[in-house]
Amino acid sequence: MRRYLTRRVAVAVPTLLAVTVLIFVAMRVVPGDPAVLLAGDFATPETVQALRAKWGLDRSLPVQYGVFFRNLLRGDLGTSIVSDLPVRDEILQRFRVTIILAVCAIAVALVIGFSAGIAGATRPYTAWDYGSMATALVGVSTPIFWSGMLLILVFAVRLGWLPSGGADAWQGYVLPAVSLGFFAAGVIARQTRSAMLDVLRQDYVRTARAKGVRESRVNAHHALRNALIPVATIVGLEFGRMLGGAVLTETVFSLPGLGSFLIVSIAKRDYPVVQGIVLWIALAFVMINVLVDVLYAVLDPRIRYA
Amino acid sequence: MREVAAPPGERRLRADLLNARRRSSASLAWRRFGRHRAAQVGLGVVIVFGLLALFASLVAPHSPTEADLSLRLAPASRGHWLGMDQQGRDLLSRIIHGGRTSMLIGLIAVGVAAGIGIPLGAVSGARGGWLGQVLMGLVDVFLSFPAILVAILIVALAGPGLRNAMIAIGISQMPAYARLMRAEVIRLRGETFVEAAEALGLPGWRILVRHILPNAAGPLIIQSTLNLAGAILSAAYLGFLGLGAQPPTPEWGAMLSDGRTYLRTAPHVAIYPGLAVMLVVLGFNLFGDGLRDALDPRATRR
Amino acid sequence: MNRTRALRGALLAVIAAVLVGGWPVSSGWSAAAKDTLVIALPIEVPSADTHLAIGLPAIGVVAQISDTLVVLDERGRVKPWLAESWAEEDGGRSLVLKIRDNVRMHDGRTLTAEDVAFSLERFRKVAIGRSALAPVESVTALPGNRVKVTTRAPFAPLLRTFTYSSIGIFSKAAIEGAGSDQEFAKHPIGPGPYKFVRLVRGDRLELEAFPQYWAGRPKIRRVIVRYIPDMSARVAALESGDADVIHDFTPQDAERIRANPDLVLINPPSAGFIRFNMNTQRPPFNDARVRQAMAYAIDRDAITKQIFRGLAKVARSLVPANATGYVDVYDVYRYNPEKARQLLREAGVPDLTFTFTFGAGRYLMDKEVVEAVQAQLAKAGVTMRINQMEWGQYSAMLRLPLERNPTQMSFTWWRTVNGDADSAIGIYSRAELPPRGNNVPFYVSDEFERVYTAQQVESDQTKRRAIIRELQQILMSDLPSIPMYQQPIFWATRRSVAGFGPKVTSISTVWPLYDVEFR
Repeated sequence: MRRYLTRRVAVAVPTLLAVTVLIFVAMRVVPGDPAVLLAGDFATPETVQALRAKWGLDRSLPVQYGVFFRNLLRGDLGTSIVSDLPVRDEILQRFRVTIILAVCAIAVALVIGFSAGIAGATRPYTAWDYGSMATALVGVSTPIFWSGMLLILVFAVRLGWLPSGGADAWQGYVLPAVSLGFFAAGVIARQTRSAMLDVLRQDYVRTARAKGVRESRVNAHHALRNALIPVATIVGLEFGRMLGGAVLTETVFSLPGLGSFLIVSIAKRDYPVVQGIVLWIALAFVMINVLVDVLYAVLDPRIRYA
Repeated sequence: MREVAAPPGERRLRADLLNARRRSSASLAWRRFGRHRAAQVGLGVVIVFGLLALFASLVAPHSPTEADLSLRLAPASRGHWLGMDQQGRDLLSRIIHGGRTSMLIGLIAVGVAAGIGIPLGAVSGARGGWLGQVLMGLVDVFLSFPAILVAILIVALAGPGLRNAMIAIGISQMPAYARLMRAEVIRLRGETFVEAAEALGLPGWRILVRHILPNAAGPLIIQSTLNLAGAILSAAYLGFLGLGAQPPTPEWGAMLSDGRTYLRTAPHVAIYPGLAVMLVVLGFNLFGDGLRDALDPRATRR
Repeated sequence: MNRTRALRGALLAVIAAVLVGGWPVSSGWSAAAKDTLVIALPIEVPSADTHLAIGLPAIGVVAQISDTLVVLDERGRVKPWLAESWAEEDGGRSLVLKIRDNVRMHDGRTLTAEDVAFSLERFRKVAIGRSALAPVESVTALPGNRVKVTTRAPFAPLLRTFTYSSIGIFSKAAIEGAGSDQEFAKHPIGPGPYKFVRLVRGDRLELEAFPQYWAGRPKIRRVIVRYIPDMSARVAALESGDADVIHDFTPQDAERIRANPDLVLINPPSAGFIRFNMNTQRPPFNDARVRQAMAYAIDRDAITKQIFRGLAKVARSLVPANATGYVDVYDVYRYNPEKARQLLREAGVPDLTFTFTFGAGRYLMDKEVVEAVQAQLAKAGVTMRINQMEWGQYSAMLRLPLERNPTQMSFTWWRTVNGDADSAIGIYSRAELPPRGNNVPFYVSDEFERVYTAQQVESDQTKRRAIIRELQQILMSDLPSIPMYQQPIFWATRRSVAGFGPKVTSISTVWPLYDVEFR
């Protein structure tokens, strides 16, 4: 395991490096000039030129990357083109919203997903099973702008129990966490069900049953742990995605999280911000994927990494 | 280098080899599928939608593009069962025609994602070591790259169009398959039947394809059938970037997202395309369940 | 077993840490007492400094902190504000403004001519929109609380230019004390009705009433400007009472708001208009008959009536309807698909096919309008392919030079900068050809050029008005662009909000808030 982790970290560094280069190049290959976008239609070419010079965009690409990389090594992600504020501070501020939303949403997803999945697997092809499948399908095929807006209309406009959006109070996170969590719950439920069915049929479970171990214990201790491997993969992916910001959820519920920040910054070609956020997302995924790998070994002791 | 696993028992080994041979019998799988009621319903739904899409111009009561602005957002009526959309076009006809583009986008995008992701994950899981790590690093890069930026880049470099939209969606969904397949390979490497196959000296790729892949089918099929929904829905956002179907070509994702404006005033504009997406995905899910059971090498005695 | 428990413990610890440590602290949504006005905007406030802020509604909001020298009244006339009077000098090259005495600023100081001169100089130096004051040569503070602004040549629109919310006046001492423009932007200080409290980017700007405001103590104690990007969410926020004022929503929502007794719809005169530009240098649109055929084949009345529910008006000239000098008589293009077919036959393109490009989702109902036009053109036998683009990419493409510019027909919005037709019509001149400017149809006409130049040097207002008429006539017959409709501006408030509305003419911005109150 130690050797595996060392190797994993050794690969993480070039991975992150590759991300910085790729995103740097991608932003500059994409048509659209931050100076023109920021200065607006009435800007004269002189204004645009002055702005480009101010942000150092008039220099050659390698030089620009060099500056970016040198600052990065010092923990400085640069200054936002749009707001003139340090990118790191801006990302941290948005991340606070994103982490709360992500943790709440993944909790919702796990509770709904596991319940529906286990209900389906233990009673396959019954009303329970189809009910859980329906839940999952509604989750994945209803766009968030739809389900989210429905929740707003019911709980904010109609009942007045919760705010229609915004991150002012904890209540503001209830509806978005449910919407976002429900979406992920669909995938988790289906994977849990499938994996459990798979495992329940395996030989050693049969053996355990034959030996007279109580049914519930069989389910809980043997089947579930093994079932958790593909589920852990999916949960890791979903959680990573949430940590990168949930654009649609944030937009519908007006939450100032990372996702909408990234989209707005791409639209305005705010290079430093996009670079910073993408690097952050990459870091989050690398960390989560290592965690998930470790989790595999925890869940199934037979798995050893060389 | 290899993982350590529970010592394989002689009897179990033989039984597994036997199973492996049986599994290859297609007729058995087919018979098993035949007994699966839910799967047949699923297949039925998929076939119905497929036929509707294929013969859309024969089935649809109206033209999907002919517009009459004065009938904009009109509710259901005698001649227009599902009402009119925001341009005054027959919604039912648009849904029937839209299935063609949407299901094509969904299926091909999922195919692209699985086609790249599964081999990537398989190799990474099977080979472990440096190669495996580097491949996973690659997957991490893809995971962190914003889908919208990928789409804009594709428009800039390869131009707009339906084909490029499918590639864009496929790329953004690919990492899930790679991660899932890798996890399955790691999980199954320790299983007796794999060890047995290794002991028999079968080549690695053969073990992957004949022994591991069928056992890993479950999570991958689930992922694919659910991703279909995601692919169809994300086509709408790509449409805004110029990727994918452009107006007036009907497409479910775009219909849903256009209908968003009328959630309060004319909900039918978005509800029906949404139901279409849900039904198709339901069909594929039921079908996928049946397929999974039919392919399951251990389910012979069921 | 132990491992599971440890894992569970760790997870709980993380959640607890997040919940306790990371919670953004603020007043609850339900606690928003009625001394707080909540305004929800579709764009975020990137900076609280008018010189640095971008985006029209956002500038209107931060302009509550600074203040302008003059304003335009409801009828578009210049009205004294921080400047109480003015006079031209040096044969029209200089404008001397007398600054109101005893105007208090948020730092307790009294506004002087020095502050004004310094602010104008700062705008000329750092503002994104500094080109607005490009003709200015010097700004000097004179004794007697007066400021003299000198231009290189007589520049008639100068006074009107000072109505821009972005040319805000701030405290010189505060700017100097802040150390840098960036630092000052974090806490701007001006003479406006509201003081800066805090700015949470991507979320909100909070303001507090400035009791010593020269035009009277603001009636509402606190103003919160929230960024709600989603249109439906803004309407929901208004309906649920989470917001008191919202901007920008669909015509359908406008109808619903109008019908709701708790809400008030505000639909002020439009300031900008949408036009469809055709590339006049390349086939098929290098033939004026083809361009005119397009105008006949598009049913603009149906678009304003159906898609905009009658809340927008057809644009009938290539200058905005609110610009001085707008004339609608040269728009002869009433919907007539037969006439369109005939013109296309004459031009030799009876089955015309072309591509329409636009940055989808930028302007209200843009995609629906384009799709409707596509269907209308189809009825005249024209095949219009639609190519949606991401806005950044689209705006870059519009500005490509002719050789590399693939646009055939495009969608743009335009307005006047200073309420004068001249600034809107100028984009059809050669000097504005891309990549330099916004002449996206690549319109080149010697006749237009000659008359336009005459207009620029004409000092007699009556004669100038006549020339601007002539320019509109030339454009409407050459038709490099089709004027589509006047872009409507939608605001809505809750019934309890009194005094919010078009007090001054502005582009699309928040009006002065000092006399807004709760009923």
